[in-house]
Amino acid sequence: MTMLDVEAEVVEPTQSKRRRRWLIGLGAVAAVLILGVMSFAIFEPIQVLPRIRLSPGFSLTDQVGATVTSEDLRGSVVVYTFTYGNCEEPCAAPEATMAAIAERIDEVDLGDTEVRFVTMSFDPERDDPMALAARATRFGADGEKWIYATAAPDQVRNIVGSGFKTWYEERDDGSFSFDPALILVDGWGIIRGEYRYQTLAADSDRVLRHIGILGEELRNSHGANSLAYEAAHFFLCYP
Amino acid sequence: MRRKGLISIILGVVILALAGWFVVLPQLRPHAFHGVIMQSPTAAPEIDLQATTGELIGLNSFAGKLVVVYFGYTHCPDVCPTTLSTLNKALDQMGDGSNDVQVVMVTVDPERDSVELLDEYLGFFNETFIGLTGPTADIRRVATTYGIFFDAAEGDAESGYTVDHTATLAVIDQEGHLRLVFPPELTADEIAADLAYLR
Amino acid sequence: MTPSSRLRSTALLMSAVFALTACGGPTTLTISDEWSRAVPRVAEASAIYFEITNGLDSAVTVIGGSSEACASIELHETSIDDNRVMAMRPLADGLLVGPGESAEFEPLGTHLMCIEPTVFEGSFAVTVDFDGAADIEIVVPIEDR
Repeated sequence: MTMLDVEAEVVEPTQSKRRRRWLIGLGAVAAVLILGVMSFAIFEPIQVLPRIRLSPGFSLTDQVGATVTSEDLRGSVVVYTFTYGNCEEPCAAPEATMAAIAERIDEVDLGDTEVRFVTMSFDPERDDPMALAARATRFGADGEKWIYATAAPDQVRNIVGSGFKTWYEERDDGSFSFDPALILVDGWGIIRGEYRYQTLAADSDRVLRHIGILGEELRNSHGANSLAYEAAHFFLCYP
Repeated sequence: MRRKGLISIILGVVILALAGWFVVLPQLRPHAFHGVIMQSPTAAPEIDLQATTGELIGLNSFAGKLVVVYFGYTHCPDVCPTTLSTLNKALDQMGDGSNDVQVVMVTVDPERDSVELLDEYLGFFNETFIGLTGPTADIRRVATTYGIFFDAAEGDAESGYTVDHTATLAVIDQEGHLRLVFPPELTADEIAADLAYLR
Repeated sequence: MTPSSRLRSTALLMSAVFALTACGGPTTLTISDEWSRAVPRVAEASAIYFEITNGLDSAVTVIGGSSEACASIELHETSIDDNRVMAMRPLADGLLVGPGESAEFEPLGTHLMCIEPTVFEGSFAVTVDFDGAADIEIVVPIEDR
């Protein structure tokens, strides 16, 4: 046996080993890539807001006396707050947040989808269109994008209490004790965000971020999920 | 030789990937709902109304079944008959599985839709469909919590009045949670697929 | 024959063929695929669906209809209002179908509403009324599609 023979024996396996390593490496990379793509396709990990409950169906009268129904708002992202007449605490905080959101709404990309703002009074006895208009002016609601409205007296409890699960009760002096809230509803009429001021006051940053997530969902939606935002909403069964 | 080996390895990987994509993936992927699924289902709003079967009915009357709730009325020419017919076809497709599904229609026109009328109207589409009615205030309360708006619209003298109403369907699961919302334009196939999955 | 003249004659031939097919197409106003959804005998209303193809040179307007089998017939149309909500309403001014256009009357869309139907199986005759063309009589089968 000569030195040369030994060297030859050593060199040969090293080369094939290198190749094998290279192949194994390539295979591993390919496997990771394929698994990654597959798992993404399976689980579609996109940040979403939970679908919490159905937003109630309603017919309201706004600050100019016009009728606005839940069907008119379908297809738009809607932010709701609740109030009454000359309520200071605790109504003013959600309405101030709403004003901030309305002012900054252009920061969010929602494509063609509109964002509407509705502040609902649960005191229809006193809040006629004039009273609503006065409060609307105070918070800068334009009456187009942001309306102030109330429902028929026998409907308010159904809508605000049962539908939006926002508790309120009239006190002996005619004022209300009430659980201030800001509620985010998608184009399907499904509640996607509830911000209860008793726990954590909504700030406009957080709500805007959540509206942005709805925008992302809109861009990624297909099939039935995108229907709500397309021009062809077919939800009202008119005869 | 080696190049051939490499090519066959690459080919193998490609074939495996394709097989994975088109065969394994659809198996692994969770059911893609046609309706809108509620990820955090909460207890469905209570329904306590007079049923065409004679008794007062609450949601617990249907415990263990999937309940499809529709709001409509018998004077409705287009959307309501279309929806009821589609639901009947969906149940047909489900075969025995349809025994676990209960379709109910809450009338949005209690003035004209008596229990007898509802019973006969719904029975035409499917014997198992149940109609629900009650005082307008009760119906209004139930409809509101299901996101349903309805309002009697002025009609001319001939057709009498008509009722505008939201035509979405709600699906309540066996435990009484609101799980799915269907838009009215879904096909029988799509409804059957979603219901079969939830069953 | 030069290549360009061959091209020209081919073009001539093609246009002649197109002219022929155009001649062969409908030059009239036609209603096809008519049907009515089966409804129970207690029903106070049903709907009539079909497709209108306007092969005429001018626009026509569907203004309504009549039938022995219905107390009256109303034209109802689906429209998208300013709020982008689709709504169906009686169509007072009728439905315009332009020349060469067609209009689909289909479930969850535009339809003729048959008020107080009296025929619940088989088929029934309906006269569809037009403005700008003669009325058309169709026989509508009752089906469960």
